[in-house]
Amino acid sequence: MTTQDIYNTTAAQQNQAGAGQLSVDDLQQITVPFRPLVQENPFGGNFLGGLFGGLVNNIVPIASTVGGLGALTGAYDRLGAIGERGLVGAGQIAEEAFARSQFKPFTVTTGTGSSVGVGIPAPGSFPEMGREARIQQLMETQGITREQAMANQQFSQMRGFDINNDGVVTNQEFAAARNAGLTGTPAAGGAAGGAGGGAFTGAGPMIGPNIQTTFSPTEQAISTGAFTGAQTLLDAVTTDRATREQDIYNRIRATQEAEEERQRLALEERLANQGRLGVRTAMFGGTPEQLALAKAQEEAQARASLAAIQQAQAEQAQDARLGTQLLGAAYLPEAQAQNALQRGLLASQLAQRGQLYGTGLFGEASIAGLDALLGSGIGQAELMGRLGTSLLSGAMGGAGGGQGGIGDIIGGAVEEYGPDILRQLGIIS
Amino acid sequence: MAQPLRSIDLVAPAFKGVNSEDSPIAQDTSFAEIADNAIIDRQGRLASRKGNNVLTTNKTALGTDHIHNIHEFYDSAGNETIFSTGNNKILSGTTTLTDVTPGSYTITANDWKIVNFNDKAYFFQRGFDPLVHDNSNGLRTFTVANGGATNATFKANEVLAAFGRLFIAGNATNDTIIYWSDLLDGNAFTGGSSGNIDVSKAWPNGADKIVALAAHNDFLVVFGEHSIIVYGGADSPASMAISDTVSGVGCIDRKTVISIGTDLLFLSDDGLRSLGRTIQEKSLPISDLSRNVKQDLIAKLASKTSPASTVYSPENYFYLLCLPDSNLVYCFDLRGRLENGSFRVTKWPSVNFKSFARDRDGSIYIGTTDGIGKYDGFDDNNSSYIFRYSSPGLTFGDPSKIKILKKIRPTIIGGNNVDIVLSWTYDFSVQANTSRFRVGSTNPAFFGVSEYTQAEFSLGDLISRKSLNCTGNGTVITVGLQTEVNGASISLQEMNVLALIGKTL
Repeated sequence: MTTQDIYNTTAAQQNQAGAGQLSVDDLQQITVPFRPLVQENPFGGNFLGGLFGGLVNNIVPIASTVGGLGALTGAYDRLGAIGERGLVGAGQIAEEAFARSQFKPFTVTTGTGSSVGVGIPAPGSFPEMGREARIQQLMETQGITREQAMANQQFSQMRGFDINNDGVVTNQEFAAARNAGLTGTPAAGGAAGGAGGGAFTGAGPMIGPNIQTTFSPTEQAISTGAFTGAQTLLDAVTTDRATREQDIYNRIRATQEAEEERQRLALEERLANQGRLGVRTAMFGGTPEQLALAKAQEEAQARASLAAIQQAQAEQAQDARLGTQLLGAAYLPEAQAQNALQRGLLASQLAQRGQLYGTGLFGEASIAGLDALLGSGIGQAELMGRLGTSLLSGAMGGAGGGQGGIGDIIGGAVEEYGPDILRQLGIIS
Repeated sequence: MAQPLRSIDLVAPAFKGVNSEDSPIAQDTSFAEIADNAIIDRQGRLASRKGNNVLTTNKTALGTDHIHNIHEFYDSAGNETIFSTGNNKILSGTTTLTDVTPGSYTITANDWKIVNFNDKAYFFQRGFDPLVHDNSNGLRTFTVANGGATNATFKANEVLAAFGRLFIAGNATNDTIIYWSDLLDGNAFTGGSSGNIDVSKAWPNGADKIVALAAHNDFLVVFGEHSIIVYGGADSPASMAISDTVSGVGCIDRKTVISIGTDLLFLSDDGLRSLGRTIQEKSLPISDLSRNVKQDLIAKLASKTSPASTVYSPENYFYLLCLPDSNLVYCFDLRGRLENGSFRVTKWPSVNFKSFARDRDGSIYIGTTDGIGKYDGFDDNNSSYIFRYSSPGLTFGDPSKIKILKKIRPTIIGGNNVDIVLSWTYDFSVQANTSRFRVGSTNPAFFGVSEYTQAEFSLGDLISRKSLNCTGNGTVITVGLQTEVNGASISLQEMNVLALIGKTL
């Protein structure tokens, strides 16, 4: 059955489809069907015609013999059937126990609104939808009636598929539940057995048990912002620093140049007052003061350059540090969600232990019931065997007042028809 | 009724030198209207100057030109050479003028300035490759000495050796940049600690050009034509800074700047100035050292076309300013200043002195067309010259009354058998009354001066006292004296003028 098929079924159909697997109730209804011994006549009419003369005369021993053989055969067949029933029943119990012991998805929602879903997506990851819109959607996409669509939604909600508790079970929620094994429907490729015979074929948000975290908008914004910032900063870490160094250098120089210009003007004024504006020297180029100022400015430029390099490196380190910190901050909501998940896991484990214990109890109880059932069947078989044995013993001993016992009959038959008569009668194989 | 004679005793007449600026009748009688070829001698008397004792006997190299420059080079090893310039040549020696101009070096002008620096002599003239002389290599051009062509900027007009460097200024295209050489290396104006300074932005008047450089009191003095900049800290030229500036006063001739030890004299376009007084008084006219001959001097400077020449002689207490164009020498007596702050001044007119230089031993060299002479003796190359004196107007205290001059009684020291002409005039007349007398013949020989067998020791200079009768009358009387100086000094000790005071006009 495909996933889409389930949506083409009614809830009753889905329920019926779900009956393919044994439930506890199903197991309680397991009974060993009574199979009455039916003896087919292995002989043809000629044989019987010839035989009827003897039968009439030896009706009692024959009846005893037939009854004993029938009882024995019935006991034999019953024992075989009991074994088959036991095998089938044990398999059903195992399947049921396996299904019951499956991991139950759960979602942990934190106080900030974030949630961590284990096994199914977090509720926040499913789009919300109005009930009427969903009914209409089902009617339009599945070609079902309104009543069928409403039954579909009711059944699905009863199965707990409304993960985000918005009152409707969307395709995504059903697919998630299906992928989590809650619907009893194979995740993919299955065409039958779906709940209600639905035909949902879309890929769900989960391909198997996993953990999905959904952040609250605030935390998501924080995380996204932190990621963006971290990316920006970490990108900057690997970017060539020359441009940044130049920018820093320019900014440092911008702060220095005004003072340098004032100093230059002051020196120029001083030199003018001293009548030394026109001094040119082989040693200094200009005056010693001009050289000193030029040197100071050059040193300032060198210091600015060095400071720019250092600052750029510091910023690079800072970017790396902040980027890392932002990266950590970006993961912080998730980490907190994981912490919440850890705490949720404890609760889940408690529930799972109860589930497993209950499953164990179920298995033990079911096996015990099966044992009891088999025991009763074996008892019945033994009883029938003893009954058949008694009847055969009476018949073989002629206790009926006839011409002889069944041995004489068989001996007569073998004498008359040969040894194959015994094979045809099923006495020997 | 007979009246007593009124006397004006001109003691040490012309003691205050010539004064052509003030009103003749209001002048102190210690001034002179004329004091030609005179000096103020050691006794404060007006005396005849010394002559030019020409040393040169062979002036072939000089040709018909005169000596434009005289410079004594000496080094630490005691080598000494007298350099002179003229006839577009560099000459050496005094007796025989030898042309030492470097080969293949053409000179077309004679306006050199020569300085000694670090055992070398440096010759600078605008537009010409500078010359350097040392005792080992002789005279060479900078191009030869430095092994490379000299930059035109270093072909300067002015040079100063001071502060361990040469400072030069004024090339063919620029008169505002001072270049200084490397320390103790006058050849190197590039590299080392050499440098330059453009003072065009430093002139107090906004613009000027460098005329002269001088060092004084650890200052570098930059003379412009109309302003002065004084730089301090010139021992480190790169750091030197303006210490003072003077506007309105400058120097018109680089050869007139003379250090007199305590001051710096220079010729401004309005007369002789001293830097110390100029800085102190910020160019006030009172600092005019030639105030008493100002108009006369300015007139001469206005017609001046050739470089002046000056010399300072502490031995003679004078500063000579020669204006070759005018054949005139002003002699400023530096022993003291008059009440108006000027120096006493006399004039040496009609001389052919063209240049001066002072030797280390105090001798004064005189450059003429005859070659090089010394300021010595009392004739100019065996030619006489006229010593002349004329008093200011004498009013006997009352310019409104007629004076009837009766006698003039001069006291004259020296002279040797020469005629002395006394003159007197009334009321500024150009026609003078004269009276001649002749002084005795003597050839004084002084101990320690004249040697044995050359002269006979005498008791001293001849003293002549005459009493000459005079004629005429007038309100203002001017008396004078003139004589020919030819081998013997003469000085005017005193002149007593006697007159009768007449009626009031």
